[in-house]
Amino acid sequence: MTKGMGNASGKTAVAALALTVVLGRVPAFASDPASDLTKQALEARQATTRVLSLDADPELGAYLGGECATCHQQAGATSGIPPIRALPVDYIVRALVEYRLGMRDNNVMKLMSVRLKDEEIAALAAYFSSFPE
Amino acid sequence: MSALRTGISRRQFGLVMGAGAATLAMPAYLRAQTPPRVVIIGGGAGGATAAKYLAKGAKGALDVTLIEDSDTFTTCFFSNIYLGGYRDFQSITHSYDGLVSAYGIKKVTGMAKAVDRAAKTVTMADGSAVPYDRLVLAPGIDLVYGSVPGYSAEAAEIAPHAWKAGAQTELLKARLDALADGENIVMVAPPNPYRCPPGPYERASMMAHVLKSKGFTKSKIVIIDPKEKFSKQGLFEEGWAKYYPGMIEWYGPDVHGGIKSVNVKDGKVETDLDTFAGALLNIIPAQQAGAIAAAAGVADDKGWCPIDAASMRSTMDEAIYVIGDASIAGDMPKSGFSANSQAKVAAMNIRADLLDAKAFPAKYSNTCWSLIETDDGVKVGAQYEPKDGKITSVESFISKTEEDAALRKATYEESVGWYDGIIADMFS
Repeated sequence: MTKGMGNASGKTAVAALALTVVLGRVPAFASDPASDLTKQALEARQATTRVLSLDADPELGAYLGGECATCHQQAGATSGIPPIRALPVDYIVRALVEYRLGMRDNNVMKLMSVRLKDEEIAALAAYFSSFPE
Repeated sequence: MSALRTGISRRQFGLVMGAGAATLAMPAYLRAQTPPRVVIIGGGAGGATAAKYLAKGAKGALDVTLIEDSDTFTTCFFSNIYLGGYRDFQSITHSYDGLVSAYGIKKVTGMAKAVDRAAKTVTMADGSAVPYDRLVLAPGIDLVYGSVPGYSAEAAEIAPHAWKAGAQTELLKARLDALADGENIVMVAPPNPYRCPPGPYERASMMAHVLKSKGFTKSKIVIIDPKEKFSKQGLFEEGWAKYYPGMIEWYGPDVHGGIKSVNVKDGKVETDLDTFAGALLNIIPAQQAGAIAAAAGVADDKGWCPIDAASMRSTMDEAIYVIGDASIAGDMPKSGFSANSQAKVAAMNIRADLLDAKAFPAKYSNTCWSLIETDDGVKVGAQYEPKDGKITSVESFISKTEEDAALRKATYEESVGWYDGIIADMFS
């Protein structure tokens, strides 16, 4: 029973973001149908908030993380593909959410992310952030 | 804890199989305190990955043995990059030492000749027996030399297939580098299914790169293909026209009418249409699962191994898993990436099977990168899930024609990163 997403500073940032949403600033952007990018950005923020509120399953993270290790070296070495070990939880969640929404370009990463469920992103983020730096 | 406990534990499997039978047939490793034994045959992208993920995930609770005849592994993937002169042979050859020492894996260096499924032992060429509770077969491919009349293991010493990396790859490179301008290459491409679908066409690109780099203008590369179309065809044909105009000619069966025979001594490939002559013949015959799969009785009449799409478990023996090129993996191509992906699904299911670890729904993925000319890389990839009784593609992408040079260069650099990544994932 591990609470992988228990990152206090991450939760504070999320709370601030949630407040912005409640105050109505972001939904105003979203109501503009011409502004797809803004809608997507809002969707990314909301999904990130949602994922960060979940408890992460470390065993699921370890299994799904194996798929990442084919390209991203677990030792963190870098050559043509960036290292991902020990990245902060909120960074990984945000990146995967943005790939899932098609907001980032790399087609391998879009492929790997497009069918990820919120719980799976939570598990992956907890797994990779748990590596020592 | 999250509600993602959708995997099937061994206990549930016991219920599915009939609880009474499961208790009566309780295997030795449940009665004794010795760790269950998992034996893996074949140390390629599938087998090495399976050994590592089994040993790593079980943390000493499994006794993991890797049977592999060789002390080193030369990767088929990137062997075309070696052929093109971008890498040396050493850089695609890797030792098992790190894998064995880091994860407490036993390596048995020798050939597995047979599997006694009733006794659950692997019989080695020297007559010794290796016992197992679960067996992972990752033997890769064997070449069906007779699929091209006139071709044989002996003929391959003159006209290399180079479809199993090693001495054959070095032979093809030496023969390629020795060609003079005006001497031609004739490649016979394999029929489906075969290892590395874009491989023959990336190889033609790399051979053309070598000839072009030497300033050759008269040599040609002729590909005689039993298939009507091939992987990444639009991308390769665009690249060939751009970089190697007039140098590479591809003939499908509607043109050549069928491959009748080869004569490697005379350097001739006879088809219904015509006889093609080359100073270098590269004959890539049909393929089937490595011999141990048929010896174990888990291959079908076409020579490949049917598996359960959710676990990579053989449909013919529940103590055996088959991964990589030898398996019938539905929509997945036979590639190192696929084998590595399948190995992780098998390892998870074997741990669930033997140790009550959790098994999650299987996910598979693959990406195949190909290099057409310096800094011009393309890729095709897909994600797969068990669906409709097979491993089924659920998402996919492919590079587009007319992509800009910066993207193609980034794609090549990504492939180099992937190579280093999968090697680390297999061996360290």
